[in-house]
Amino acid sequence: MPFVRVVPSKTQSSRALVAWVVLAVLAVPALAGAGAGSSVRPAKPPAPDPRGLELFEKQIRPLLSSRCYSCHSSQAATPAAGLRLDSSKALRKGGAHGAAVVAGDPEQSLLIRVVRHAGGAPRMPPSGRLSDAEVGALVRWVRLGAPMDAGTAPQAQVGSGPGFWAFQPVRTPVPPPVRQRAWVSNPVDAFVLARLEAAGLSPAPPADRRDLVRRVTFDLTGLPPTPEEVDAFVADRAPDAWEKVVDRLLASPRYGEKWGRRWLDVARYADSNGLDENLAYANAWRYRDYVIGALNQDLPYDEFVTEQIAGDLLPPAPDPAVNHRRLVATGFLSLGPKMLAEDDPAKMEMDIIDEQLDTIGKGFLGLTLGCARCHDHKFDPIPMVDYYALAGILKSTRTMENFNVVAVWHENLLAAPEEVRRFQAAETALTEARAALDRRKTAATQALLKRERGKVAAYLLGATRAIRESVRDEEIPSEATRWKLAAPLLRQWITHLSKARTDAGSVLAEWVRAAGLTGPGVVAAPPSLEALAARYQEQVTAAVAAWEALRAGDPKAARLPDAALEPYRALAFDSPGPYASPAGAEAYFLPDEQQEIAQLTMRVEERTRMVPSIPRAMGVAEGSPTDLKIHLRGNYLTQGELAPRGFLRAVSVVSAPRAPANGSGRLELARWITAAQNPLTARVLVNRVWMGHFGEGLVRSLDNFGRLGERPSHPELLDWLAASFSSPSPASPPASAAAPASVSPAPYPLNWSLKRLHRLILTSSTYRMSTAYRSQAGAKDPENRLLWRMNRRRLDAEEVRDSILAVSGGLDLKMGGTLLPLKNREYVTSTANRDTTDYNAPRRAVYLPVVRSSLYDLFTAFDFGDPSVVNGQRGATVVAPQALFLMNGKLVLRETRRLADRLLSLAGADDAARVQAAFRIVFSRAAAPVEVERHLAFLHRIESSLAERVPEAAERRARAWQSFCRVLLSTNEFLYLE
Amino acid sequence: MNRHWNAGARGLSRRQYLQRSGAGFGALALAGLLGEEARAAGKSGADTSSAMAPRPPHFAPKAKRVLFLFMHGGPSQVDTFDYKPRLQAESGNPLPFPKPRVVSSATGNLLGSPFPFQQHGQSGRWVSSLFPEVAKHVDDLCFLYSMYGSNSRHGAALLELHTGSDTFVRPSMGSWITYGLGTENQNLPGFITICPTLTHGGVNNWASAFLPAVYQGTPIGNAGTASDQAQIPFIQNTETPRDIQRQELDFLGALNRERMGRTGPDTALEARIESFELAFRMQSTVPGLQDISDETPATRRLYGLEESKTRNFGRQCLMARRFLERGVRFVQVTHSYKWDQHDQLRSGHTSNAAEVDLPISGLLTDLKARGLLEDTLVLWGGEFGRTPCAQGGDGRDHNPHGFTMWLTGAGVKPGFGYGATDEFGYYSTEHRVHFHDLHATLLHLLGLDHKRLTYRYVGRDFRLTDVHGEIVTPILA
Repeated sequence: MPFVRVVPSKTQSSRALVAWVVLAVLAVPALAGAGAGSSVRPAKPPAPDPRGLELFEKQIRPLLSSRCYSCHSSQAATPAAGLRLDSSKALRKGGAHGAAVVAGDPEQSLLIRVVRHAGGAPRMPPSGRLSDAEVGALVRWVRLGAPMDAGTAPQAQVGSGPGFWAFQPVRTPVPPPVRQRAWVSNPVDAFVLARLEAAGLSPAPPADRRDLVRRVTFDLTGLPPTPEEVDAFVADRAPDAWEKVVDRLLASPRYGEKWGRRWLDVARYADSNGLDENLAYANAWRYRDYVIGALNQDLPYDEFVTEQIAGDLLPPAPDPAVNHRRLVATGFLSLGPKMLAEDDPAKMEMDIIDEQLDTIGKGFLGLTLGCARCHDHKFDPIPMVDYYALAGILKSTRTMENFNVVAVWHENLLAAPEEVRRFQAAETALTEARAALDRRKTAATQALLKRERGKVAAYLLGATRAIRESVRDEEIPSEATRWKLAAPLLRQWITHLSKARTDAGSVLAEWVRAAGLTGPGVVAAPPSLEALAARYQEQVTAAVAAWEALRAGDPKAARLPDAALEPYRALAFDSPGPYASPAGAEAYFLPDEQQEIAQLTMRVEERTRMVPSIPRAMGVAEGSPTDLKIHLRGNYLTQGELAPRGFLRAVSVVSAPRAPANGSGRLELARWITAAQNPLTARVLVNRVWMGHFGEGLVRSLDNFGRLGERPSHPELLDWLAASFSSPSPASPPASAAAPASVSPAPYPLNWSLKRLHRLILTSSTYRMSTAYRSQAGAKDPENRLLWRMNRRRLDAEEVRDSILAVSGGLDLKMGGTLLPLKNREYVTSTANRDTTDYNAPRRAVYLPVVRSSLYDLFTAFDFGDPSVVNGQRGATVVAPQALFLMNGKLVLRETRRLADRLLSLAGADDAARVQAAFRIVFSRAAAPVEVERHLAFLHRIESSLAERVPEAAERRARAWQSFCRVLLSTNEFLYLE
Repeated sequence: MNRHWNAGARGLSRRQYLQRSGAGFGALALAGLLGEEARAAGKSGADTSSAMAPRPPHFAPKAKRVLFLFMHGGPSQVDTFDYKPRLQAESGNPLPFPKPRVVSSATGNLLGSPFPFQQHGQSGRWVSSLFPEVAKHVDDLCFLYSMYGSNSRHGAALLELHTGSDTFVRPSMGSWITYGLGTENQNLPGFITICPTLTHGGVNNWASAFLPAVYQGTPIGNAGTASDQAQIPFIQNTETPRDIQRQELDFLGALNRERMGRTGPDTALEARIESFELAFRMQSTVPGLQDISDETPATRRLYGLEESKTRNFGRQCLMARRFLERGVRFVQVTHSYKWDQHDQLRSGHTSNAAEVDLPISGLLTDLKARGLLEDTLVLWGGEFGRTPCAQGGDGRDHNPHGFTMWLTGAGVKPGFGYGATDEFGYYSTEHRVHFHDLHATLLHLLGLDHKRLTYRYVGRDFRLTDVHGEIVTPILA
């Protein structure tokens, strides 16, 4: 938009143009005094005023970007009036009308005049006057010299430099000496005990064996132990009894379900997109099953990370199942919430990349990278250029098929390459066959219409007859056959003629009058009706001929120039109208046309059958390698220097590979993340596992190891665990934790094995402490940061649900697959706001659909968290909806009844034995005699309260036992782990 | 730092505190920040406030609670409250200045409003024929003619309106407000949303995101539920008689208290006991509040409950008043996704307005009569407005660049109009008001400084207004 022309109304523009040209001619020499076409200030301006720079970054740049740059920047193909406002130089150089700004002098600056809508000058911006505050800011900025930086991000120097603890290499500390050496089962205990002793505290005594087996069974499997498992452990006096329990649980498939879910929290897993267009991710479950499987088979963590970032780029394995698994793993990058209906595709793409970086950063590295999208990270050593170096890797990756509204995410086909090729060839063949069929049908329809345009008279008479006789719709075919007409066209004629009865302007108005169709009654037809019908036929025939001749010369012609004939053309061709392409006209095609169409239809059917059905998985593929420029203030419309693809400079990994020119760099990114020298990856992971067992991390901000995160409570322990975790294992597995009488100074080489890491932590004395409260310790360390006892913890959402089903006997342990009742990309909640998902399946909760923006009520009540973001640690609130669920939830009502029936059907048991059985199932312990008495009394009270309402004794008894079960499942003893 | 709570000498963040012992909807006599320490020392808790207890604002507030009447889909400003004579005069002509760079759908030439406008009241505010009843209240309304947002799609625009962000998952404004002020009735949720939409962001429009879960909105039904069927999840139990449930809870309380004796002090265990009592009270209170049989016939007529067209929304409005009256801090009423007239503007807007006009008018009359309007702030509007240019023959596209919302009640100038769009009603041009500015103003009226109401999450202090927001001071009474 040229600078001069744009004024709000057309009428003002010519006068304004004249005035403006005069002004410009006068003004330019004055403004450009310091040198035509160059800066009005000396070539080397003094250092810019920092206040001006700050003002620029905070207010001016966003303002220019949103209100001016679409016409006046390098993003415009031709900057309007030759004026660009996106660099200091361009600003001072100005456009066709001279410099836009006189630094330090707002009154002399063109920019200010136009935004003030000062007389004579054009008014800018054309989309509406800036607010007074905005104009004021521009004036202040010009007065301060109108400084702009050159778009170069300064090196981040603030806050946590490479010297910050999280960026320092992981050390291998020697476990410290302790006084109470007998307590030390493995080096973990030495680190914990040393700090306790230094603080004058002592560890809690070991937990009761029943509490312990309940604790570890929930911690590793998310389910309560069976009474038999409890008894077995209590009775097992072997020195390795504990290790056997831990090993048994780690080998259980339930382990992958429990800890897989923990990873899914980090991976912000969900079965729908959420945000604006909540489409079903009907293939997301494959990623969920992948995670559960990977944990159950103890896939080393470095491989687990690599597969999720770059599984598609690993060298092909001989086993195709492995290759498919790796494709599924890349679903990690694709599962995030996406604004699928964003009118600005470039913004959509950068937002998706930002979401991916946010997840990678927090999930693997414990860093909030998102800050550096708009400015150098204020606290961590992450300059913008590093953010865009990483963003380039994802920009070079194909996550989406397109960025339309509604956008389509990419999915990978899970098949061998030759099968994929076969699939693609078959799809192409099918598309071709469909197109051929459509073409043939269209041609036959056109031929039919052409034939029937010669029967205008017959149709007119037929339709008139049908209207007069009120022929019913189902009678139209036989009527048509009688008069040798095509039923679909007769139907269209009837519709059209009926409309014409009330439309005096219709070309059929004369017919309507002649046929007496104007009024509601029926008037006898005058004898001349046939002649009139013949006249209509003549006109239509003439119009068709004229139209065909005209279109032969001008295929784009829209109407006949002959105004008298044009209505007949419209009658013969337009839609809606009697000759619009009808549906169901096949029966009226010529025999050879019908035969050809039948053959083509068969071909489509054959080819449909030939398309192999191939499972699909959400995931990514390689795109075209691209380096991004940094986006100033995160706005892609204002770009700065180029940021070649790469990684974070603050994390120096010696053997860091570089992003290749011919690939995205994802595999190299994965190698960089999992490099043994990367100080963050192992620390972040061992901290997650620690939190899973102790309720708090050694670093309590699980997803933020940066300067604004918390410092580790036990830095040496964290490092010792991290070093052990990433150490390659020698031939033999780590020494049994039961054995060491003295603490080994060397780390346990765990070779990225999560199961070994669990085992190491769980076999510590620290883990086996009781939760017993001691007021002296509580006074010294109220938050238990030093671990003077075990933390009590509430069951999480899945544990609540799964254990209710487990104790009732209703739990179905079938693994894997999907319970989402939706087709891929289908709307989860239509605008009718119905969520059709059924959460009543008795499967483990990890297999229930996770629907963003419409989460299962139970998940919401029990702190499942928002599945749109990385969630390293869930809340454990106590809110009323939890109580409401336990009191009124359908699942609770159903399963407590099942448990009651289960107890009542115990053979040869009296009620006291039933109470005992219930305690063993629900609490993993026996009831004391006094407890049995109280519960029996309660049962009796309920039964007598129900006496009048429930006449049938068996039902009354069942209801009383159901009340008893509901109480047990609502107790703190059931809901909290000691 | 987090307001109110981070100053604790123990350094236990409010988030961590709430994660362990968030007290739900109830005023729990918790030992609070001193927790186990205080109890162990035999002292009574110094801080007896709970997560939802009323908290003093930063400064004296004008409003104590908020009611948001949300018109989902985007009502057209130029067909309702923003009268544009030039649009009428030049209907059919091209727009004489450029359309936005990014649009939702292609539009053609200017389309005059099919609805005649008239001036109303002492203030002479213009209202179209769509809102004859609301028009009677113009002298109480404060119009913001210059609203604008930055996204032209429903989902993003809803999230921007409700949470301030069209890019990230952020807490809803209702959550921020209950976080800042707590609530006045401990038997009810502090933030209630009546028949909210499950689309276009769904739960995220009333969720607490990283704020503790106690601050999330409690939905009553959803946009697909008839308002007389709308329920809070798990609030009803048709199986267990109330007296049996009472006996169960008495016994449960006894068991839990006894166990407390063995486990030692633990605020979460203690809070759990109380949470069942709260739940029991809630399940009595809430359905009672939703049961409107005690309302007079005159009131029922006032809200349009006797007419089929207005019954559903009228009942939502009446429920809203009943919740507000009992001290709920933030109530939202959603008129379901109907205002999206890409075509059939005339019939669509006519029918939508007919559903809400009388109930809104009735609600305003009732609030005023009960004195509630003195300390309640009412907000009306959609996620964006519509283009003055035609889409198809008889429709308008989404327009986040300029549209109207109105406020009434506590703290805003009555009969006032602020800001303006251009002569055709496309762009907000004078005294532009962004959603961030609206949010800052709402908080201000509630006595909260939007720059100080922060919550620390993954190492950053977050605000409802992010790094934006200016209070629209000229509208303050």
